[in-house]
Amino acid sequence: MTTPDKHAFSPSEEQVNARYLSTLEQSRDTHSQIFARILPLQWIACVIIAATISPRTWDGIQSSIHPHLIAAIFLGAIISLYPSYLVWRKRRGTSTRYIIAIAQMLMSALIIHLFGGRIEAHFHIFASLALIAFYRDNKILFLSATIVFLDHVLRGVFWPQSVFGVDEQWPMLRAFEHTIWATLEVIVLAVSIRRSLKEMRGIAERQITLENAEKLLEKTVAERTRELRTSEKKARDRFENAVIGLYHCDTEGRLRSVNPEMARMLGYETSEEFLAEIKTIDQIDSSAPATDERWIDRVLSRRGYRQRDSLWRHKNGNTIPVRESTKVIASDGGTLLGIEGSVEDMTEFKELEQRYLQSQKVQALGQLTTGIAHDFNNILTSIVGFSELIISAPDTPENVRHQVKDIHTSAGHATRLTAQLLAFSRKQTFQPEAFLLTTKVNEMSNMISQLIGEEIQLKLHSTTEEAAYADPAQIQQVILNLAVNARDAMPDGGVLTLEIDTAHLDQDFISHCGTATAGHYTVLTVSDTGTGISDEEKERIFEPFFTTKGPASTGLGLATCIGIVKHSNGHITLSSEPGVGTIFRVYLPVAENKPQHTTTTTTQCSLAELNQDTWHGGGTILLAEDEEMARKLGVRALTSLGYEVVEAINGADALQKFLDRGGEDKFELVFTDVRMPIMGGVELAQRLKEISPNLPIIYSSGYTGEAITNTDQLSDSSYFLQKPYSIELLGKRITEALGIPAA
Amino acid sequence: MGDRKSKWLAHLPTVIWAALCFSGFSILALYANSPSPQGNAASPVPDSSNDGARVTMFLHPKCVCSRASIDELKAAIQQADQYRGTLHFYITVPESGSTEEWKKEPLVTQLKHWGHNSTIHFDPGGKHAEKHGALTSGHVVAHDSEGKLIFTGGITASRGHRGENPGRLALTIALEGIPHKAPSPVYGCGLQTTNAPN
Repeated sequence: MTTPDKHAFSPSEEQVNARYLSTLEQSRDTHSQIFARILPLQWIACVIIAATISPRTWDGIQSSIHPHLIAAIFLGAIISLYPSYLVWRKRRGTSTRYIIAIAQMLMSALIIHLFGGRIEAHFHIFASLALIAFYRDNKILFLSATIVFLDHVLRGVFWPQSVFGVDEQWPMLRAFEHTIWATLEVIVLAVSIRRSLKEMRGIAERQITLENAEKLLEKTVAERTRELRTSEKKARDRFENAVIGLYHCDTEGRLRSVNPEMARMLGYETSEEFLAEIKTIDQIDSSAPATDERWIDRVLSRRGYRQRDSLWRHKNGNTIPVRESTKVIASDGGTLLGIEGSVEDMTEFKELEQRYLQSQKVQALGQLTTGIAHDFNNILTSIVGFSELIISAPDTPENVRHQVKDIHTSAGHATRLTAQLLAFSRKQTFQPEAFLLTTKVNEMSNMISQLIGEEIQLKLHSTTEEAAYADPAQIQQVILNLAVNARDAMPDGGVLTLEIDTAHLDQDFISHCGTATAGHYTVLTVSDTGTGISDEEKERIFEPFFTTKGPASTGLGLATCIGIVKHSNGHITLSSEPGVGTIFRVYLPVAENKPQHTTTTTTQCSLAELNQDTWHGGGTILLAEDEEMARKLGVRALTSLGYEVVEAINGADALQKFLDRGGEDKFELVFTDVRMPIMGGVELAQRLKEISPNLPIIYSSGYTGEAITNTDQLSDSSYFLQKPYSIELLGKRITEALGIPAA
Repeated sequence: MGDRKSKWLAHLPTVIWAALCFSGFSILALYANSPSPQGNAASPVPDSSNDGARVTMFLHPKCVCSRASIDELKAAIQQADQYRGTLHFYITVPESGSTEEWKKEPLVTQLKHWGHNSTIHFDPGGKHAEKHGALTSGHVVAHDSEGKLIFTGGITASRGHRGENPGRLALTIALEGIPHKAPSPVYGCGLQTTNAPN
């Protein structure tokens, strides 16, 4: 705060004059009021004097009221009451003051007369002049002196002996002599009045200066007070409206104040209700102490800022995880005053953390399974391919053929297992389209009925014709997995209900599930009347390799389901009650367009449906494959399908051989693995497209088609073949790519 | 014009007040300065006891104005250094009824402390005063050692008014040997009842 300049308080001349005149007028007014009381008192005194000294006048033995008494009563009344009346009627201006002064001097004259002209009585004149001087008005004072002078002049002229005792030859001179003493007093009083007025003006100036300073001070104080109140209000608002819990306690841990959020966090309606029940921090702190020392004592002993994660007791008896940050409040002298703390409810954070850890775990598992599946598919490609070559070879002995078929069958199981692993890790080829869930479920009803057995009743119910947008084949797998789980949950029979409906997922729902976006969804509800799932199992039910069915289960069923649904931008929920049953709800996005066709297509043909001869062709195919066994199989398979093969160990090798052998004119098609060292299949395709834009390319990968689709490389002349593939399927893809009609 | 008239009207009460004050003081002054009637001063009654110069003052014991006359007499005698005569005070008392009250008036008490050469006489009905032509309280007559009247009249300037005045001065001069022939006005109460009931 800056100190104001002294001159800031200095009043202007006008201000001083106004205050001076106002004060003077007020003083004179007060004095008039005093005179208004004194004059009647003097009148009464006159009456008493007259009644005492000369009550009666005598004529022999007869007497009558003395004329002095009559004069005291009536003349005294006339002299005193009129000025008093003027003052009483608030007519206290200059003229009234003159009248009062005249009245006072006349009162002196009357008193002197009543005293028989005793020289002592003349002192009343001096008292009157002194009283009149209190008006601080020299004009009035001079008027009073003039009255004295005139009185003596008139008496001197008309009754000189009444004033001077003898006939006076020079009455004016005698009058001056008699009034000189009064004049001396008047001069002294006039000087005093002048000084008094000067002092009064000085006082007015100082008074205004002080008032100005006081006003400035008051203004400053008001501003500071306003700022302080604003600041306090802001602090209070911040305290009241904070989104985290805030509290203040003393050094003993006794709570002094808590904000509404802290009360709400612990299940109380208001701060008052909270404080009425909870008196100390210890009452709500249910954390196991790390040491014998109380938390609050540790905070106080170490001062500064402290933070910890702890458990606080909720009103309902449960504990909630909180993050508590505390700061010790101390005076300037270092005296501990208390503790300020902020508290965050970490329940949601802990859930998210748990979910994140789960997600990390699943992701790690996904990467692991993806890697395994990729390598496994390459191996399976060789096993499946070579076993097919052996089976189809005419000179294979029958007993060998049977054994190889068993190998082929086992390889098929292994293929499905890797497919599930890829589905779980969302590395499976995803080919979404609009389709009717109702139609899909109806198509599957016979299959599901056979799957669940006669002990379980199947109920289908649909209330919508909205199409879902997902990969129909993968959704089929979801339905089958859920149906199998339901069957396993109802060993003694029950009811399996599949319902198709639509639902709108709002933001609140979305914020809880964390994956899907708000909007319109088709809902497939799969409910059973089985044994139900415990809360502990619910926590882990979607984890890969988690199973409650014993070693016979892979533990990949529901993990695959959630992988597929999430890959479809959908969501899956579970509600279950042990002994009552379980309900899975699969939310799939509603398709913007109507389904183009309602029949499902398979992307992978089975051995039973294909025949190598059907897909026989001719020409030279450039094969790029880094895996030796897969490359060998490729050469053998393509050869068996009637093609000549130029093999390359990676993309760069393939490109070189393509250029060396004459390019487009030499090769009918390029069959390449996606992932290879030095140069991958995608880059190879790009280079070849620059040379021969119409050259057909078939990608093959034990991993997924996603890498290709993500880079938008699958053009009209590009195809994808998932490992492990059958020779027939390879033949089909080649004929499709070359535009050759099936034989 | 109307403003001027209303202004005057506003001051009218003050003018009336001033006029009343002036009138009151004028009446008071006229009363104070109006001398009382005097008797036949030209034929003074000689005193029976011729024991030197003497001053006689006639007083009404209840007259407050006479106190001023006594004070003036004291001043005149003090100023007249050569006066060695006697002083006689004739106090008028009623002819009949109780006179004790009159004899105990403060004025009488004051005179008892006058001192040497002073004698107080009570004058029933003011008969003795009347013989000396004194009709008003405060009237003074002075005779020289030969019994000749050297002064008669009042010695105050007005009723009950103290202070230097012609009457007192004339008495002082007379006591110093220069007789004052003209009677001086007397201010005070009547010594005899003017309208006494028959």
